[in-house]
Amino acid sequence: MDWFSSRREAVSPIVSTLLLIVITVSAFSLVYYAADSWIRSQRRGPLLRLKERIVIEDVWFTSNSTGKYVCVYIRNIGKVSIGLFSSSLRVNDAVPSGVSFSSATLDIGKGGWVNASFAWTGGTTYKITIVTDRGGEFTTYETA
Amino acid sequence: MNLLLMKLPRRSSSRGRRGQATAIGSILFLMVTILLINFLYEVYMIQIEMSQFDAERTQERVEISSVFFGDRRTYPSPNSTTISVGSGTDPFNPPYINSTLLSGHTYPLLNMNFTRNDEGWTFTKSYTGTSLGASGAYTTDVPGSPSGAGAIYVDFAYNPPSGSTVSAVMNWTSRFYINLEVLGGSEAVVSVSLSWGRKCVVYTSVQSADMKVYFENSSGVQSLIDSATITDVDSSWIQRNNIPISLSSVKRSGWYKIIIVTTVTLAHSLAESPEFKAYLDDIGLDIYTKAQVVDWTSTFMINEDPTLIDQLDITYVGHYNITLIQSFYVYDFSSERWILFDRSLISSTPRTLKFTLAGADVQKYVSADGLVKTRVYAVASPTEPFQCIADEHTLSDYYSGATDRITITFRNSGGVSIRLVSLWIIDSVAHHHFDSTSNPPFNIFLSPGETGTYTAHLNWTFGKYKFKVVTDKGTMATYAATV
Repeated sequence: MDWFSSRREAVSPIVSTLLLIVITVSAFSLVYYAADSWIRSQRRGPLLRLKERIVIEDVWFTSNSTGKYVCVYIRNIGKVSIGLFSSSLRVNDAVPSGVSFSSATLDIGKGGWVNASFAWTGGTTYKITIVTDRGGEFTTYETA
Repeated sequence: MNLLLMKLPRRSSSRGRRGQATAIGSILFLMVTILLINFLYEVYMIQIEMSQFDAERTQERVEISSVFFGDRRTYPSPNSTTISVGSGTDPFNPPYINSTLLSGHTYPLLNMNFTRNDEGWTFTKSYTGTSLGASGAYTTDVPGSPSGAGAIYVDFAYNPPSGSTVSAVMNWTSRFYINLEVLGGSEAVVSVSLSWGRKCVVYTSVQSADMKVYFENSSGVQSLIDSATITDVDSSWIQRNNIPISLSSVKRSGWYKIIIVTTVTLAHSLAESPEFKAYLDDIGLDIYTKAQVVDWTSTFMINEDPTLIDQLDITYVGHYNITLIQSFYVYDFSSERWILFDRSLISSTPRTLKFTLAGADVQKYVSADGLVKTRVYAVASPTEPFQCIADEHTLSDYYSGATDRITITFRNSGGVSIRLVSLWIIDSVAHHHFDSTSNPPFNIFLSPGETGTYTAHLNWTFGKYKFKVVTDKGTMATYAATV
């Protein structure tokens, strides 16, 4: 009776111990996974955005027989490569049509043109913004 | 007792379960904490890195100091050198130039013979009363001095009341500069002597007259050099030569004076007008020196049309085995004389001299056949033979004949080194870009205070131009020019 009694009492502590451990491990695994995922996503985006630096070297308002264009020469002076996309150029906060670039990726130290069709008016000052694929924004003002 | 024994293990087991879970939980919590701390540290390090980058960028200062529409050509060494004083054959190669002991005379007074005027001399007078008739001036008279016509004089003409006398003090003063460094230092001075001449031509009712010559050193201390008491008119020119001046009076470079003081007292006369008049001429100070000297010239022959030269950049780097005074000259072909550009103390550490000759009269430094001449003159005391070593001597000319070149000069005016990576030349037609892929490549490193030039291969026409230079950190400078 004593032996049986003590054996019945021993099952519950083992189960409860295992249960406690499993719950603890599971809970912290979830926390760890969530934290790790968040950190990884930060490392891919916002953290790299901190390292982005662009200088807008030149803005050229030009025209030819086919229309008027704005050509922006930028240089990556930051610590990471920079990606450009179809809305990377904004003039007065609006995306002009036909944005193109000499290179979609600017390595560190490299420069390139970002061009777009834009019906500019001589003597007018425009706000020129370059937006990277990570969301970094770099602005200058230039008079046509 | 039995009850107590039965309960004890149960308490121990409970504490163990909680302990195991706590231990595992702590480890996992620690892992999550480490993960987060590591991330925060990473963010912090990135922010530090980029803050440093931004701080360095704000310290950058670059300026476009000049733009020249034309080309620049550099001549890395002179076409020929000529050693005027010193032994040796080539200042750029061993055994370089060894100094030669030279002796010579220097006459620091601007005007000694009064051939044309009294420039360099001033007359002052002092006496009791006003308008007593004392005067001094320049004259073209021929008093009989060795140098011929032209002299200065003192004249005192006044008839005092009966029984009284009147006195006047008349001074002729010359102020002049003695540059001992050029002469080889005070040790190089062997002797200093004064010469002066006079002729008293009017001596009427003069009670007393004397002339005293003072030498005032650069500290303002006067010493009497010579004196003469005049008792009558001089029948001929009285010239006193080589009156010694103590070497202790000429110990350093500075402004010195020669003062000739004439003191005259006139007595009353009924029969004639009291007057004293005397000429002064041939007043000279002779500094005799012995010094170690090196004197050599360089000649550059430029290929460009001298009439198209707009600027000359001359660089000379040289040193000596002792510390001495070096003078650097460039020859002016229009006035046919050497123009002093620098006089400074040079030691065994090579010193760089850089001169930019620009402006309307830059072409006077270029002969009609395209020669540019420079001169290096170094002098030391006679006891210090020395060696002159020329390390580098270059000439660059900017000429406007080339319409396919624009030469831009940049200057790092900040406190950190910079690297120029991008140049823009914007005219009415296009935006021309120059970088490391251009020909010639645009990639210039500049230390603080340093200047650099770049010649862009670009056909230019008359009009407005805008220039923009960018560093690798994104600092920009602009410049506008019209040609």
